[in-house]
Amino acid sequence: MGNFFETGLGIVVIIAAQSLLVIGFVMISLLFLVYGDRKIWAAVQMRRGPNVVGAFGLLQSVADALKYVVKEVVIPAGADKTVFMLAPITSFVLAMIAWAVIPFNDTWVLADLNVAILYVFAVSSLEVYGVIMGGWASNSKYPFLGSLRSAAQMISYEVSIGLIIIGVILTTGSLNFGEIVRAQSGDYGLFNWYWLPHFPMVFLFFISALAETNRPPFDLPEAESELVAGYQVEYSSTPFLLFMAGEYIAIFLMCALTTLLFFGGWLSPIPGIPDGALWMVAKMGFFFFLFAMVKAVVPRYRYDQLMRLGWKVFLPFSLAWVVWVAFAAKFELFGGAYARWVVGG
Amino acid sequence: MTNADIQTVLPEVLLAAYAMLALMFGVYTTKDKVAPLLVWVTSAVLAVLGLWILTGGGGDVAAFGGMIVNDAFARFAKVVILFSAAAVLLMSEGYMAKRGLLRFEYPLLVALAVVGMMVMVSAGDLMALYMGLELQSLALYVVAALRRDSVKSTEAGLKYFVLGALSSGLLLYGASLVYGFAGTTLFTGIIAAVGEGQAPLGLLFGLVFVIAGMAFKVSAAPFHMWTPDVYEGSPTPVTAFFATAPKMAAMGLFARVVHDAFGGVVGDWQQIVAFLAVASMFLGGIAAIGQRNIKRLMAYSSISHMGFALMGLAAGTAFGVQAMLVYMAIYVTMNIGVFAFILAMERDGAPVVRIDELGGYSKREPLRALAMLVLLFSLAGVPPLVGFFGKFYVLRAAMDAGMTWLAIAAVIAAVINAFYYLRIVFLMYFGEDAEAMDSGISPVLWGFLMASAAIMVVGIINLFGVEAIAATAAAALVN
Amino acid sequence: MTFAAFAFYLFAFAVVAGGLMVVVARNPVHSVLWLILCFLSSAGLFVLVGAEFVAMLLIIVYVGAVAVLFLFVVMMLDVDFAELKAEMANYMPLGLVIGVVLLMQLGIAFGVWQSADIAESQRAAPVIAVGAEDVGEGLFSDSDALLSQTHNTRALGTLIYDDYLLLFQLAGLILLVAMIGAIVLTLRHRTDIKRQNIVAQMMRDPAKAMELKDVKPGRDYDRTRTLPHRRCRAVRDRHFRAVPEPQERDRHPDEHRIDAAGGEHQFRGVLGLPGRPGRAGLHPVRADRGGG
Repeated sequence: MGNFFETGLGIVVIIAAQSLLVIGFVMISLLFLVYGDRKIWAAVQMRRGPNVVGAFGLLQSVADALKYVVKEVVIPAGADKTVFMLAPITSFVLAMIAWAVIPFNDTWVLADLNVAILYVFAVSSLEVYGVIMGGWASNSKYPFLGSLRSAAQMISYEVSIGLIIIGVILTTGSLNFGEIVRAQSGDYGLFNWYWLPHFPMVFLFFISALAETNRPPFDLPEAESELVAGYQVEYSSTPFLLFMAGEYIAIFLMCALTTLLFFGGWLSPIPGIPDGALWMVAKMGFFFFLFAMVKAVVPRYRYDQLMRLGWKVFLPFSLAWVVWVAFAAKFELFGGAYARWVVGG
Repeated sequence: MTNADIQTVLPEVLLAAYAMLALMFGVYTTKDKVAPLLVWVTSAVLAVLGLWILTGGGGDVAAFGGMIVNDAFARFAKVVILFSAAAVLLMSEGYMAKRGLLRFEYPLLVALAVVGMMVMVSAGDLMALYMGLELQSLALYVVAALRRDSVKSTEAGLKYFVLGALSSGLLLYGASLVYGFAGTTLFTGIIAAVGEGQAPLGLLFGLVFVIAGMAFKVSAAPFHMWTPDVYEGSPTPVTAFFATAPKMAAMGLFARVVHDAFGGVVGDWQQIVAFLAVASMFLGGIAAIGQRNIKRLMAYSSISHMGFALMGLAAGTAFGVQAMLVYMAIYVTMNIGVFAFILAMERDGAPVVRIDELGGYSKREPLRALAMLVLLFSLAGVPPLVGFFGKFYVLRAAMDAGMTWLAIAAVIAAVINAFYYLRIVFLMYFGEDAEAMDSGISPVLWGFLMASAAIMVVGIINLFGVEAIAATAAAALVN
Repeated sequence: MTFAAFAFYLFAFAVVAGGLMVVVARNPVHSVLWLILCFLSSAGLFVLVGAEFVAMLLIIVYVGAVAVLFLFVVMMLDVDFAELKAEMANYMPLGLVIGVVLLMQLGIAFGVWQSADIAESQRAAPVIAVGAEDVGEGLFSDSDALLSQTHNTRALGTLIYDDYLLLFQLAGLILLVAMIGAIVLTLRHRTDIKRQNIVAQMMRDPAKAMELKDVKPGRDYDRTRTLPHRRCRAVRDRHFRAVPEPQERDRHPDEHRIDAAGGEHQFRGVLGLPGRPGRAGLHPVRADRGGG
């Protein structure tokens, strides 16, 4: 049997199994993330939140998912059926495939791409299509307006996300997540991570990630006070479930990105304690908690404010930061904190 | 990349840096209120750079691995481009300000277009050529549509853009075929790969596409369709700009490509260029006869002049290139004068473009009419004015190269062309009196008109030595 | 057939089929979607030849940004493509003739195609140039090792920022001109609207921005004096909240809106939304027709 895993078929089986493992992890965490999101939100608003299905309502998401799946799919009469159905699938699939390059521990990664970070960036730039296609194919004005808003919003914030990522890449000298995390290891635990040298960018990245994933306070595509539910108005049952799942997976992905880029991935914050995948998951969970808190605490932006923030504040600031990082890396300022490829080897 | 490389392109770098700084200055201060200041400063910068290149000299330097060539030819073209752009910019200030078109971006777009032109004439690589060309074209598309509330101006911009994009496509297509053949985009590499004698068929296709693309840019027939509409629709100062610096740049580029990259297969492109020349001379001349709008007329006039200039190129010799350069220098000088006159054609502050309105002009403005007469005679090539020498040079180049038929055709075309120039003169001196136009003229326009006319007369002594400089320039290109 | 070959044919087929559908599709939005498929498949082809950096850039730039703007424009503009196509039919014969002639000529050119003898060596020149330094430093044993080991992100970076720096900067200038042009041609400074000055607004002193007044029911607002600060409360006593009911508004506020919509719930002139298959343009959605 030992040889089987070296044959072509064996390799395919291994890859499939690994992929299933990651998908399983993401899907199961998805169920509890939705639950957690609702619980946190409820706690902030002094409500109880879901508490009926299962102990403490833990199985609420399972029940919801089941309900979505068994309901009838309603397609509006004037809709462009193909595109209408394609949109949620696109949204979900794109959110899933980005996980292929996310490492959970050293070498625990499906595809160890050289350009992993670009791959994630490319896939997340495609996610806008689910929204646009859904909004357009619904043949209805609220979804359409929602999708237009969303497209403009996602593109705007992608620009600053890209520039922030460039700063990290400059410091690391590689586009590979493994390299990026390894460059953050050192004797001082969490003070070696990139959040310190790239301090202001952590906030910019976090806020841009909120906008990129259409999370409150930037959930304008589905601003219910203006657009009913934005691009999701006409969606029901499984397609809606796919949209929602895609959205949460994208959010979780952003948590993973924040962890990998600025908070040392699987590295332990305190020297002496072993590194491991648990650290990674714990950090992701923490950032999801922040996402949920922001949703509960911050009021929604107005659309022109959102655009102004993206183009007139974030873009110049992150651009200036890239220049600064390039400068600091070139001259190895601060003991080479910005030039890890030189110092770390 | 070394310091020497940067040194070679220093004028371009300085101009681009100036444009960006001025842009920041304009945006962060009072926007359009600084426009007149920026026009003057830009003009001064262009003129200073021109003087610097003119007096700087320097040998035949290749930079960036041969992508940029700074030789006497490039310097000649750059000087003409810089001076004419500075002159046209100065002339445009009053006109643009009066019609609320003087945005602070205008001089900067012109400056950036000039950067593109400078790269074009010193390109030593197909990619550098394309970059320069696009930089120039894109800026020109914008200034053509500057009067954005006018249908004609936006039409001009759009038409120019669409056809310009098409021609760029042709050029790129040809360039890719050439690259496929030679395996490099460097002119030095291409000429080495092509060798002497007959070009293979595939390369010939590439060459034809490249020449077609460039013919669009010089507005040679049969690729001239955009010219009249763009000339008519654009604001007049912009038209004046179109008729001067970009023409020189495009001709410089044309000469650079056919000689630097395809100098080994002169026989192959000679016929194409000769055809373009003949077609342009005749089409421009015949179509101009029917024109009553002086801007359209100048458009056709420029088409036919491009035909004459291309004739010099068609000769395929160093003397031909010299003749072309002399012709272009004279042409640009004449056009600056003529457009200074056109810019001053106003009635009650509104621009006048119909040539019938010039009737009886000589009685009211004898001096300006006389200057215009000299310029028009010179454009027509009437001896002994300077314009005649331009035509004489290109004719001799064609004769020397054994293209007698081309020379004969050119003489016939020159006669046809003379007709519509002389008709304007006739209207001014003997035409029916039209309603009087505004008599005022800004000192800048007056200065350029008179200077240009004076050059046409005084220049017959020795052409201000342009001949010798052009000879050096041509020798640098053709060897 | 190896997996790479299979992937190549898959992507190649998708590129060609997608390209064809871009032209053939009746609905312009579908055209753009096919175009996106085209781009994605091309990116796949780039990955197959080992140019993963270019592949990712293709997706980020073309699919992630350019095609989105295409979609935007196509969705927002109400261009009657049926009409455009009818007009196109007039020019079809001429276009066809030119196309066929060009195709034949290119066929001839392809048939007798030959490259120059030195083309091969010239083509390799930039690649060698990239790593000449590294070979010199002994990082790679020779240029072959260099070609197989150099990361293509690095190779591209070296070429763009070193050998082709000038072109790179010129491309930047071209984009700058495009940006200036877009602003010059479209931006209009309207003076008749009120603008929000964010900085001024944020710098405002909240204490001065708002003033609470004690208003007794039935008394004139103007006569009330400013309250001392300690009595300013966000939640006011019950009798303050007893505000009189507003005047009766339009009796049936929604009636007019229904009239305005004219029974049609779509932006007819603004949005080129998809119609039912078979007919171009826009059709009102009727609830009674049912799904499916």
